[in-house]
Amino acid sequence: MERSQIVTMVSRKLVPFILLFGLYLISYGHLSPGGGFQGGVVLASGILLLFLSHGFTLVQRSFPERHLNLTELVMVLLFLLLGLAGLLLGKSFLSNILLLGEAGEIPSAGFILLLNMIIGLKVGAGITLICFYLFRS
Amino acid sequence: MNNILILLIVLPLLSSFLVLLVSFISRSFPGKIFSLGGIALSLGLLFLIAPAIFSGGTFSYSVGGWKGPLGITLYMDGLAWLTSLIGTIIALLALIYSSGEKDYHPRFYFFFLLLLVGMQGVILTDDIFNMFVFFEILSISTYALVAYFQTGRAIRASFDYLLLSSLGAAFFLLGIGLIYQAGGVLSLEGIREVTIHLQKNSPSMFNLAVVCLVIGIGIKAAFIPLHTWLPNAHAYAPTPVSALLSAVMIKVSFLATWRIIDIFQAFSLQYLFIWLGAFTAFLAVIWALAQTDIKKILAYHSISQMGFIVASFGVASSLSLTASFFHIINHSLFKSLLFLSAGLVIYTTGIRDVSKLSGLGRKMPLGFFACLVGSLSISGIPPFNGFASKNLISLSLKNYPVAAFLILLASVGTVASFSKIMRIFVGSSAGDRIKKVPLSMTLPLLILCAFCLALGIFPSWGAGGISRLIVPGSFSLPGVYTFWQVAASILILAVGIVFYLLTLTSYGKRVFGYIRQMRLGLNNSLLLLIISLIFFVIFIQLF
Repeated sequence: MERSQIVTMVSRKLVPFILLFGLYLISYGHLSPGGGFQGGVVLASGILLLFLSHGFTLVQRSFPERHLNLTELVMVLLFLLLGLAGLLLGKSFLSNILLLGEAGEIPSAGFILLLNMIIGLKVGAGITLICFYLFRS
Repeated sequence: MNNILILLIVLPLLSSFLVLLVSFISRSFPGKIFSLGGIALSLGLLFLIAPAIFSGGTFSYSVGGWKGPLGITLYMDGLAWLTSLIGTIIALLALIYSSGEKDYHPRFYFFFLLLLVGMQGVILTDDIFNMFVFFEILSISTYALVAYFQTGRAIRASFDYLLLSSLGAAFFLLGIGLIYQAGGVLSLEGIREVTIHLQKNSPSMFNLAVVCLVIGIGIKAAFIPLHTWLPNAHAYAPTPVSALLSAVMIKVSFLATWRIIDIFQAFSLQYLFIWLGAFTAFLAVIWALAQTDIKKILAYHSISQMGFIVASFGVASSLSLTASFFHIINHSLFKSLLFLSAGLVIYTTGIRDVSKLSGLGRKMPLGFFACLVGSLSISGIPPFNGFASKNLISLSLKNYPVAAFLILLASVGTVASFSKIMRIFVGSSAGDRIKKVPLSMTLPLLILCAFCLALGIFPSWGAGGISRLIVPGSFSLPGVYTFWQVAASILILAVGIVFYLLTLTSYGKRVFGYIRQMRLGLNNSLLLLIISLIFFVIFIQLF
């Protein structure tokens, strides 16, 4: 397939902003529309845009498959451990273990922000991997 | 103490991801230790709360401390405890077996544990939407496990199951939507409270929702006409997985149906189950007789035995519910025993076709013994556990002679088709040597044999415990070992063997060869699903 200069250029300029928007969705998930899953999908879509415009090998260099796999795994385990931490502190599974903070601030709503970050990374890595596997075959 | 409920779900989940993580870091470290550890720990937890459950206690748990009806709650009573216990035991034994069979990829253990997570979740949840989520976890891990060997047949079987089961899941979700729209609650206890109100105000909507829910799970519980995916999926899966699927997964789905019918008070559907069950038991046995692949025979018998369970559940008396659940437990034990010993036969010889095997009894006495115990149990011969529960089932069907007759025919057919399986152990054998079998494969078989025998010799012990846990109030269980019942089982054995000899004649071979050709393709099974949905809706509207 012939590579278009315009597509390559535009996507290179666009990707940082897409990734930034993903991070924004994740970190404001407890205050505004968005959240871990949505933010993660946006992160993945940024990586996929790079993948489509620059080819597989280049994306593999900056986002190696092994690291994506590891991120996904570790994030699930972290999520479960955060849940179990509530249990250890004498509350129930997945109950809040942090201070609530002031409503409207970014560090507020207890550990929801933390969970959103974990889910965001997990979903981002997961969806990127799914597309890697699909496009490669 | 209440925390145990969530730990039963989280522990297998945690260990499943640990298996993957460990395999990721070092290839040589045996990750299956985590899977064994996770399941063994859950088993320990279940025993820890046994005294409280037996003294009539129930547990409930709100995830994150958010109370129902809005929060996610888990609930455990006697029914859930027993199912969870049997599922965990079978999973542990199947896993021990799998560690001897071959070197499975860590992915296998991951999906195996995920399957257990799904089952525990379906059993323990007190929230109908959560039930859907856990059913999806269960189904997705099943698709992956059935297709594990990546052969064409396995992938095709998995794909057929995927299509049917996702269609079922879509119906289930539709049912949830309808109920939520009409009642505004999702927790099972909340639904129980609004049921009477809904039945009066919007009966047709309510009925449609119940039918959608029952058909949606019915696909996984595999009673006729929703059974078409099962024989292939169970036959081409790895053996430990077949054991777990046949022994536990379809039971869990059926118990979810049980819960839903109980909560929605859909008693006319429950009545329909008597006939569905009887026909399932009878028809599936005919197809089982026609098969030659050993695992396919067993898979068709799973459907047939589900028929016994479903029919007995339909009668809805204290005795019949106890009998139904007792048969669930017994079937889990002997069907996993049979699948594992069939796996042993395939492991040692590499042949699945029963007509090509003979004289294995002398080469693998232990496999012969295990298969004999399993066959006698499933055929309902004293003193094995199948005898006890089949007797209770036939006693509970006393007022429905036609259904009882179909069940009787199914018993005869069961004897006949297990005579076919047992024939591979007798006769002359070709002289080639067979593979040596490791202890980890034989140990689970022996444990399951012991269970089968113990529950058969002390039926009052098993059935009494079950009736105490699942039936409110007390009633006296009829004795199982009376002269007439033992005589009847001997008669069934004799007729069954005669029937088996009849199938060996050229005419019998032609008839069963014809039946073997009659298979429903995917299109027809989808059509059958829609037709049965419409039929259920009409039935529940009329009665």
